[in-house]
Parts: sequence; structure tokens; C-alpha cells
Amino acid sequence: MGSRLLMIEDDRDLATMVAEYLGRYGFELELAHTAGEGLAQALRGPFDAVLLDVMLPDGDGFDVCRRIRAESEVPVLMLTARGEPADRIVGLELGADDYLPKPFEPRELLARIKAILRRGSRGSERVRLRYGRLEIDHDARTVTLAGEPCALTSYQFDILWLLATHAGRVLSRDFLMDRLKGNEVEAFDRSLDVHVSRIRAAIEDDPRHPLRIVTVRGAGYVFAKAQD
Amino acid sequence: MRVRHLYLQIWLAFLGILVAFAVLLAALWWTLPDDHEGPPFADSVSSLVAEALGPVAESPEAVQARLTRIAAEFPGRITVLDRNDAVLAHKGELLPAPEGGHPKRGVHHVRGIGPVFVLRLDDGRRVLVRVDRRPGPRRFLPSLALLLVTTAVGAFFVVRRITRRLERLRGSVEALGGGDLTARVPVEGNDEIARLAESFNDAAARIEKVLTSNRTLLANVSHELRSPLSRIRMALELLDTGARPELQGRLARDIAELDSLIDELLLSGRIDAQGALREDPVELLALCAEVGAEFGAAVRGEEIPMVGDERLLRRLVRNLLENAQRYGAGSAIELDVATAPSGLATIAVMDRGPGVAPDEQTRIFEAFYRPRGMAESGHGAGLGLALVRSIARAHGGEVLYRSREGGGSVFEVSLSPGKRSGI
Repeated sequence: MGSRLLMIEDDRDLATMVAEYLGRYGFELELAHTAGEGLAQALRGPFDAVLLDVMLPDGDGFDVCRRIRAESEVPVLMLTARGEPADRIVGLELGADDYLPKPFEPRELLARIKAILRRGSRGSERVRLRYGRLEIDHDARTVTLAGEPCALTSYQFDILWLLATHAGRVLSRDFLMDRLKGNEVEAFDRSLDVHVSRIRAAIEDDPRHPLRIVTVRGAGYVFAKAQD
Repeated sequence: MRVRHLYLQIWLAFLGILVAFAVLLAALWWTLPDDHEGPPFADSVSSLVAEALGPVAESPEAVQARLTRIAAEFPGRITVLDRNDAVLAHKGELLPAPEGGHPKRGVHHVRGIGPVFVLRLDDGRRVLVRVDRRPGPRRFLPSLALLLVTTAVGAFFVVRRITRRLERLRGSVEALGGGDLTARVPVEGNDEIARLAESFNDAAARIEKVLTSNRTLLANVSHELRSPLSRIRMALELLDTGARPELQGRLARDIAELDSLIDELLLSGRIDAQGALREDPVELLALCAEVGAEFGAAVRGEEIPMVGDERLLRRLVRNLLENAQRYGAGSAIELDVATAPSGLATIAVMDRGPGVAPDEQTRIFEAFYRPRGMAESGHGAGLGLALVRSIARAHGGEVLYRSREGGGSVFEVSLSPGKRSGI
């Protein structure tokens, strides 16, 4: 791999441990401990991605993010202790590519880094939905779970896209069938439920206890808004 | 009828006083005419008039001649009577003799003519005078009305100007109470209302400062507590735990539990800070189904779109389900979403566990309350149900416990589906 990352984090102990951990997976991590230092390093570059803490002794991470973004396309992953609920939105609006609350699972950090590296530079503004580790790319018609591609048929992708764009709402079978009508010959092969269970098999950690696509008895399906 | 505006109250009171004053004045005017001139002055006027009219013995013609001469320029009517009320002389139309014998000197009201001044001379003759241009009631009343209207209109604007500042102050107090911490009033003038405005501004500034520093503190606490947790979590991953992998898993779970407790503490702190709740569109059944899936709960009910803080509502459902899982003795958990007759949305979480003893049914909603018989070493009770209660209340609802028919517990939460209410 050999990706070069910059971590701007005032907690030296944590930064050192993250460097060691990521080093095991072939990442080279440079450390900066203040906003000023980090910004200078980030702009000197080049880095494949920047890990940025929100709370820094000489300024806040949002500001650093804005200034990196003004001059560079490098992907930014923000790290912070959850404080205000607005943080997440603010971070992403400022141009951060992802956001991970502390304390994070090291494996989660690894997965997020891999994901933003794969996505590459921000140049391509593609229609893409992300729910935790699940990522649905509308243009490429691909679905990945923690970076691993999930095998779905085109019709199943359509179902998943329809569900995901209505996350947090109960969608009845009639609604789904109506919207999917005429899309594919596949629709007549099997019932919707069978397709949904195929999708679950592909994207759920435990398809017998689905958490992403939930069945509401007598009502329909819900695509979960908050996912791992 | 109650008058709702202060300025109207003050203005009406002012008008009332004005009218009462006018009425009293008029009453005095009409009822106390007799002594409005002192006797010495009246006496000297009497002798002057007697002198002018000439001796008593003179014939009426002579008196008439004198009167005509004296009163040539007099604007009004004059009648002179002798002591037997016979007319001696007159200018203009005759004035009738006052009824009731020989009244004293003074003003008498004669129907159809108006006030007539009566002067009794020492020799017993009487002079009746009606001055034409004297301002009578016909001229007086319109003037009074005009005066009243002018004063009333003027007073209205003055009162309105004074109370407008009070109203502006009230608006700011309400804005502050509604969560707008930046609400201030302009300080106008140098009176009590201006002082009050200043005091309000000072108080608002202090409240804003306290709440802002409180929020900063919460964010800092979150940071301070989570930094070591992050380090522990990272170190745990780096540890070579080949020998005891299950220990690593347990540690990771404890860290997650601590993290979740911090989350709850911060959330409960935020609920108390007014205006901090978000107004997200939430579909309640979908949300319950989503959270319920993690607990294997059977979720049923109707779709209820509502407005609320999604993160808090998620936490509410999660805490109820966690509670059912913890104390439900492994029984199946059911969750019903419905609309109550009152229009509130309700979430009922049911289990077939041992239930809650009657004397504990209200206490379970207290923070960190642990039911009797639960081991101290068990996983933390946390804020659990206490947070459920504050979230429900913040959404204009309540949480209630009742025993379930056939055994078990029912936790029923009601939520206002519209805009959340004030706390």
C-alpha cells in the first residue's frame, strides 16, 4: 500500500498509537500536534489523506479543514469527541470527507481510511450514499461494505437504491412494486421478499438479524438511517 | 370585562378620572350658587343699584326711565320688582319672579330662560338679571366635550408611548424565555422602565454567559472524558492479547458502555438547555422498527410522521428496549406505535418479565435508580429511564409504567407529534 497520511492530533499518546496501529497495515503516518504545524505540513504535502482532530490547542479543526480545502483536494477525515450535534453537519459542509467520533474502534478507523482513499480525490462529484460501512454508488451501480464489493443484480440494486433514498421511512411492498414496475424482467421471477433477502445476504452482517433493511410486520420495509 | 392591555387600562383610568372631575365640577357649579360672592360685595352692589334706580317712592315710569338709561348698553334682560312682586321697570322681555316668596340673593334657574341673577335691595325691591352672553349649558357642553376628546386623544398617545417600552420589554422577556439568548431591549429614557430594561439586559447577558459556558463545559467534558477512552481503546488494540481474547472483548464492551454513559450525561444536559432540541421530520414507526431490530423486538403499529429531535427519540426507544432486555428475563419484547385519542403519538414497550413492584413504579424513572435485588456489579443502570422521561417531556409528552395483563411490564411513552412544547 504505502499510503502516506498526516494526523493532526494534540493527544500525542493517541497519535503515536494510531501511527503504530496503522503502520501494521502498511500506512505511513506523519504527526502534527498543533493546528498551525498541521496546516503547514498538510499544504506542503503530498499526503493521501489527512486525519484531523477537531479540538486543537491553537485553533479548531474545522478552521484547519476549511483552509486545507481551500488549497488542496486531499481527503480529510475528521476525528472528534462528540459534543454538539451540529458537529457532524458542520464538518461535512466544510468539506471533510468523513467524520469519526471518539472513542473510535481502531478497525472502524482503518475501514474509513481505506474508504476515503479508494474514493480518491474529491474531483468526481458522484451520487453516492453512505450508511456507516455501507456505500452505494448510484452512477457506478456498485455497493460496498467496508470497502468490499457486494454482489447484487441490477434489479436488486434498484430495490436497494429505492430503499436507501427513502431511509427512515416505512415503504410498503405496493409502493416498492409500483416504483420498480417495468424495470426488469427479473421482477417476475421471484417475489420482492426473495430479492430483499438476497440483498440482506449481501449487505447485512448477520442476514438472519437484519439491521439495515428491517421488516415491519404488516407494513413493509424500513431502510435504517443509523447504521454501523 | 378585563382589559388586556396596560396602556388601555391606564388610559381608561385617566379618562374616568377626567370625567369624574368634570361631573363633580359641574355639580359644584349647579348646587353651590348662593355663596359665590361674599356678602359685603353684594351689599355694596345692592346700595349702588338702589341708588341708581332712585328712591322707592318714585313712580314706575321714573324707575323705567332710569333703568332704560343705565342699561342701554346692557346685553340682556333686567326686570325690577317692588316688594309685592309688581313690575316696576324692565329692559327686554319680562323675567318671571322667582317662585317661593322672596328668595335670597343668588342665581336661580328659570325653565326656558336659564340662570337668572336675583339681587334684593335693602329697600325690598328686587332686580332680576339675565345676561344673554353668559356661557350657558348649550355652549358649555360642546366645549367640555371638545376638551374631553382633545385630552383623551392626547393622553392616549402619551400613555401608549410609555407602555410601548413595557411591551417591547415583555417581547424580549418572552424571546429570552423561548430560548433566544441574544434577546435585548434598547434602553430609552431615564426612568423606572429604562432601569428595568437595563436590569433585563444585564440578566439576559448573565444567563447567556452561563448557558454558553455551560455548553462549552459540556463539550469540554466530552472531550476530556473521551480522550483517555480513545487512548485505552487504541492501546487495547495494540496489546498482544493472544492469551485472553475474551478479556479484550469485555474491555472493549466496557469502554463502549462508558462512552454511551457519557453520551447520556451530555444528552440530559442538553435537553435542559432550552432551544437545543432539533426539529427533524421523524417517522416514528420506521424509527422504532430500526432500533427494535437491534433488540429483536416485534414492532407493530401505524405510521406516524412527526417533528422531533431524531437523535433523542432514537435514544428514548433504545433505552426502553435496553431496559426491557435487561429486566425482561429474556421474554419476547413487543413494541406498539399508535395514536392516542388525545392526538398524541404513543410508543408502548412490553415484556413478560417479573415486572416492577408497585412501590418502585415511580422511582424507576429517577436517574441511576437501581431496582432492589439487582446486583451492584451488574451493568450500569445509567440514566436509562430518567432520560426517557426527560426526552418524552421535552417532546410534550410523558412516560408511564403499568403492569401488563398476564404478567410483565408496559412502558408507555406519549409524544406530541407536532412542534415540541416548551419544557
